[in-house]
Amino acid sequence: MTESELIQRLKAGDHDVARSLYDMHVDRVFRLCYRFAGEYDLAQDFTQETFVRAFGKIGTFRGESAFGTWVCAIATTVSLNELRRIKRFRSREAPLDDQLRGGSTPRGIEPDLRDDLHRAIEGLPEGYRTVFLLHDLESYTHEEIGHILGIKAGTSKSQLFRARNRLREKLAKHAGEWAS
Amino acid sequence: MTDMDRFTAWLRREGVSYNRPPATPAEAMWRGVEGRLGAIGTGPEADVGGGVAGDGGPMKEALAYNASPPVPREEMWTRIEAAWTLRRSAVAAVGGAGRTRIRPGWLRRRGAAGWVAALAAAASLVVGIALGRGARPGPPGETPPPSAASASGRSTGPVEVPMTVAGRESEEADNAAGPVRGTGLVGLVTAGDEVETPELLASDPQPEPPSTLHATVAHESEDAPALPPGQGLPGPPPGRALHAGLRLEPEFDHATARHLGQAATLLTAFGTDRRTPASQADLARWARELLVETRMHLGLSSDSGSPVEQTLLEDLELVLIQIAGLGPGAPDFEWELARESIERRGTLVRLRAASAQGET
Repeated sequence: MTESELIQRLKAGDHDVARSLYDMHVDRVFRLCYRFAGEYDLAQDFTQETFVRAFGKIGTFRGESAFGTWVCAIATTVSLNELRRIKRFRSREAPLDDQLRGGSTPRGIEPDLRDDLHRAIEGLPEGYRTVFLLHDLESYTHEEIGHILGIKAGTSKSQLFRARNRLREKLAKHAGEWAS
Repeated sequence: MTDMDRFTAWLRREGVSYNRPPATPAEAMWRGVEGRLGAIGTGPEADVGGGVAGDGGPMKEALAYNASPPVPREEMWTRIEAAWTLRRSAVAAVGGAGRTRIRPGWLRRRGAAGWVAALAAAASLVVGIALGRGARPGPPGETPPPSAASASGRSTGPVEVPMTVAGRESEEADNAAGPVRGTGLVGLVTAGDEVETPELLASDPQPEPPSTLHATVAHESEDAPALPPGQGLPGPPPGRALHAGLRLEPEFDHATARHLGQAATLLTAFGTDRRTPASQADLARWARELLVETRMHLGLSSDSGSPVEQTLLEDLELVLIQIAGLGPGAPDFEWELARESIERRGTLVRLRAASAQGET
């Protein structure tokens, strides 16, 4: 059964096919949520919320973009909105335990530089960071990002350009790393 | 190449480590989704599209994690095994629409003939293990753990065989296999139990010529040289020999080997591409598709703890990210960087060796 057939059946009220759609897209959605949240539990929550919302309003999906893109748009909205709320909440709390931060230790990069890089990404304005994560780390095209964020592809490009410039400025003291 | 160009290439390579996602806990999340879906159309939460579903949203649920309950170790392990098995199947299923997926013959032929072949292979494996262990001592650090079969010299007791959880698709196999761990690890299986044939064939320390069972996989990497053990493989650090011919357990199962074969095909096409706008777009799209699957395999690999597979998949991920970012009109230096990256890491050679290894 193709994806469009699954969607039609879900629209018709056959909730059994939801699992198939979930399986098709859960990895991509979870990856995206994790990139935004950086925490396992939050990424799980955001992913669940994304699918509950997507299945709940499947009737509004008109197929103008791919279902995967549509779900990722919901995931982005859910993640950013919830992270804003959580950020406000945690501003009164102690800093995050570093061990809560996910991710495996990458090879070929000094720990100091890695930390600086991660801090620099963390410190990007939300719009820059979102486009940077989607394009440079998750390999979405500018057209897809445009669909996801509801902006033009050109806007996505300019945001990315500025994000990279900002990161370059922040990491200027490590210039030798990429110049070599 | 300007400094900004170099920085961009470096950033895309190193930035991957930022919030690097782990394996997707698909099963655990599905229960939450399923539970809340039950209310759709029947209860007050039906209108979840209009706002935050439930009465507190993810934030409230996230806070609930602060109260740590007893760790349900057994339950989680069962879920992990089940999710792992399911997602292995999903690797073959995802993306099936719109493009032809090549499935190994053993996935298509699961009739009586398949079980006969399985039993025959199980018998040959027991003999193979006994012969292999007796005749081929492993190098220092590569010696597999002692097995019950080799210790006792009998094949009727518990026999230690390599197999992957992923390859086991049936409940019967799950029940029969006993405690089994992931790819590259060794589990316990009683001789004569019903187990999947391919893993057993793949784990034979003396690989046989590719049979018709593997023909569908083999065609994708016909140009893959079968490197001799430990030779001709650039890059891998000590203790990470890619072609560990003396090891009993296979480093790559069929799904991974097939994926690596597809990636090798892409890299070959990339190396010979004439860089027309159409081909550039195709390559970038192809790389993006493989990138998704690579990351799925990477998540599974991080569970299995196989360092060889993990390393190769990580290197492949970096290369695919570079290629995926090359669309029509991409500057020359980015193409050169991608090519350099492939050559420097020996990615293509290692992919071919790995996919060839997975076929044996």
